[in-house]
Amino acid sequence: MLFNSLSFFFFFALLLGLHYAPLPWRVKKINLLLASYIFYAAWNPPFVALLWLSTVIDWFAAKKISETEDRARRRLFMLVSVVANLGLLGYFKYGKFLLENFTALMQSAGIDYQPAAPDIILPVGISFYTFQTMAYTLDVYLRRAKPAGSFMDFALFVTFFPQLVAGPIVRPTELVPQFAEPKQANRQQMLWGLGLLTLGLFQKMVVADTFLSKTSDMVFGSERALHGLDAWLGVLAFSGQIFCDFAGYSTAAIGIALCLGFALPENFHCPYGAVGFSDFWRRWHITLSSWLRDYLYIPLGGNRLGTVRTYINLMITMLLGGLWHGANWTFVAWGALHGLYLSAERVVRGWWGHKPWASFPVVTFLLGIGTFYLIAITWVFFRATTFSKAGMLLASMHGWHPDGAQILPTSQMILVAGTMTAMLGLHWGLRKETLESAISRSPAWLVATVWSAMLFLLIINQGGGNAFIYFQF
Amino acid sequence: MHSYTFNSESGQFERALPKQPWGPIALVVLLVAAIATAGWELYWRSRGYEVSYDGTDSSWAEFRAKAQHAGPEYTIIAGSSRALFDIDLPTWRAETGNEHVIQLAKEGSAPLPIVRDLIENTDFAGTLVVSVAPGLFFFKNSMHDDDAERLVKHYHNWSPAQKMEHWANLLMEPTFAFVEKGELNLGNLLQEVEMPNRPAYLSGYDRVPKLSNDTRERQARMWSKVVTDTAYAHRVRGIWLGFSARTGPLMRPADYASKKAEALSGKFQPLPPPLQVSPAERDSFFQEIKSWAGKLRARGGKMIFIRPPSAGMLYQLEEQSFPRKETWDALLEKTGVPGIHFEDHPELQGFELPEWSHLRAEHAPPFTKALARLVMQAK
Repeated sequence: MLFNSLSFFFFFALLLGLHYAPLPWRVKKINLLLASYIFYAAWNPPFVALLWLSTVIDWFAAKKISETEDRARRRLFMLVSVVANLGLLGYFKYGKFLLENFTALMQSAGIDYQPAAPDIILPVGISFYTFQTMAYTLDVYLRRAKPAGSFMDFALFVTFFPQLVAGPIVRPTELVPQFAEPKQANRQQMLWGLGLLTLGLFQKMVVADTFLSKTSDMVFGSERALHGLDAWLGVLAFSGQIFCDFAGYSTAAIGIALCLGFALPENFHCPYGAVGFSDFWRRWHITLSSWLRDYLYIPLGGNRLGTVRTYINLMITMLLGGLWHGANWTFVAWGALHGLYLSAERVVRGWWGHKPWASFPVVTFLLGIGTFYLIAITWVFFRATTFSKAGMLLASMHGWHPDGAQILPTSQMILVAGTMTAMLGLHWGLRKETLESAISRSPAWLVATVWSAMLFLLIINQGGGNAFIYFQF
Repeated sequence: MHSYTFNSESGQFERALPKQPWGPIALVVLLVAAIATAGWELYWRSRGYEVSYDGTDSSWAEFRAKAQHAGPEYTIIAGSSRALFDIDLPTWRAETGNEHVIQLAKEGSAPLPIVRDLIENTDFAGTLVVSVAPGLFFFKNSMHDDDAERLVKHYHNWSPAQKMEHWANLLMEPTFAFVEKGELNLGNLLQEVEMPNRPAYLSGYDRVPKLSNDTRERQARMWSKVVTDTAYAHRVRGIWLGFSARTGPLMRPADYASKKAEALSGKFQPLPPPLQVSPAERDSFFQEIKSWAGKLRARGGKMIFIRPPSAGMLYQLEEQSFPRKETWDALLEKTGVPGIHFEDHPELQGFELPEWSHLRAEHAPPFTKALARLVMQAK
């Protein structure tokens, strides 16, 4: 079920009714659990079995780990969890990719290997919930957390529908304790939750799907070399689309959870206002980047094993982060670019980071522009389906096709330019504060006007039903 | 710089809340949104828009699901938009005395992937009426029409979420005139904004504007504006003839406009390749349809082709591009399937087609009455 659908509106209204009915907390938790399974099964009912499998394996693995001090047994059960979760992910997400690459490798070696085409459907959100459940077992193994006291609380942690299919990826220590006590939103929380839900849906349905996706689809779908302006507007449009699509989901998820009385962590914070790439990753998909930091980069040695190992660890983390997004070498290239950027940034900071002029406002601003430019380059690899298309677009963007096709009408160019100017301005202006603090200091009439406008545009938009881009990851 | 914090006293994560008078703000938001939405609805009604159902993929899937268990008493209609506009289902029922008719045509698509799906994935043994629009039916690509195949795939993968969404939409569509995803959504309205483009700008295909109001059971009734607004009808005629004016998927608007104007003045060229195919490909095309008709006949069912009318220069363009002898006549001869062509029956002629392709709403019932009689006779 999609947040941006009419059926979700009825589903959520019914669930809120049950959540605020005078029922025991245990019954309400059962309601939430069943609702979460229904929410997930609405895509493809058999795949609920994968959720159950992941839940049961991690519950027992963590339990067994906590019951023993024997290092070998603890390691064994940790590996059971990791292998099971990565096995699910590997089969469903990377099975076809691995087979294609193996076939290509065989053929390049002169071996005529033609396997049957695998018919594997990717279960929605599998990358998110496998990482979330794996974090639970790893936290128990690393003694960062105690195992959950109740199987129902743990099952709800794995399945909690607002963040099940596209994050934020929540740590057990953040969410499991919230299920222990009865939770209800007060009036302020409920209304702010609805405000966040409106904002999230507006980002997704109006900005991403209506204002930007058409331009992005036209430019990235073009078989011809494009004029530089068209290529740039297409890449800018996708930069805005991917942010509004994903951040919109996270914002809606946070709002929905808040309406039920639960707090979910922030997943985005004005990423296009970042100055530098480590700053970008503290603002973009925050829960994934912190997951990769805590469960991959630091266990690899982080920056504790010398300069060379630090760069190697950075590259490994970002390459795997790229692959997490999709089974295609273009995603690996996207991760590799980010790894290189982060490595280069460490070098440059070492040279000039301590210089007084490095913190001058004009330098900060120019570095912000440079960061956005380089991030936009990475989106070309993220969105293009092949390297040749990515190469053609990059060439167009940098003036190699002055006679390239001009496929964007003026009205669309103005819409994209206006939307992206507003978005970048907002990200830059709000980069040092939270949305909540910015709204707190705004006059009430402005808040009411903006909220009304977003709601009205959502109603007349009628664009419900487009899946979120990150569902495929 | 975080919107959530860990409260060490409660041991819980908590989200920050902006300090605002949320109660009054929420009331104002609801009031303003309700007034603005009502104004939006009234505005579109004043522009002649009425309540209409959206021809969504899920709407098609709902009726395809009915076809899955349709008995031999059923008639299923496959085809493109002419079948949707020209066949009036209540008249069909009244004339045949049979309630059981399912409309599975889809605008702008070839019916063959849908026919194949019905033959191969159901035990249907009733009457299958296949409407032929030459430009979509003959020959190349029509066995693998993207739109029709998308519909078939949608039905076979129709998820519970999509079903729920379909039923939820059915609550809204009969209430609001502005709920018309194919026409009045914000994206389409923004596209309608006319602005001067760059001299070297290349445009794609025309978007077909609103032509009908659709009923719950997927019948299209021509929108009154197409009948009363001659400029609007002329614009649509230009879109149909524009297919012969195109030199590729992207063209300079000025070039396209002048070629379209030429076509509308009668100087049009027959539709270019790849619509033309080799004799071997034609034979294979007909053989495949023949095998489907044979399977249906073996079950006790029957296939019938119909060729609804077209008019004006669109009819001339179709005749030049798809000469009857090589297409319609060959289809009937090589497949052994009976057919009803409007040119062969005076009772199917003389109706008004304001934009040359579809019957005006008032003329669909008398056309259907005559057609239903002919179909029954052909049985």
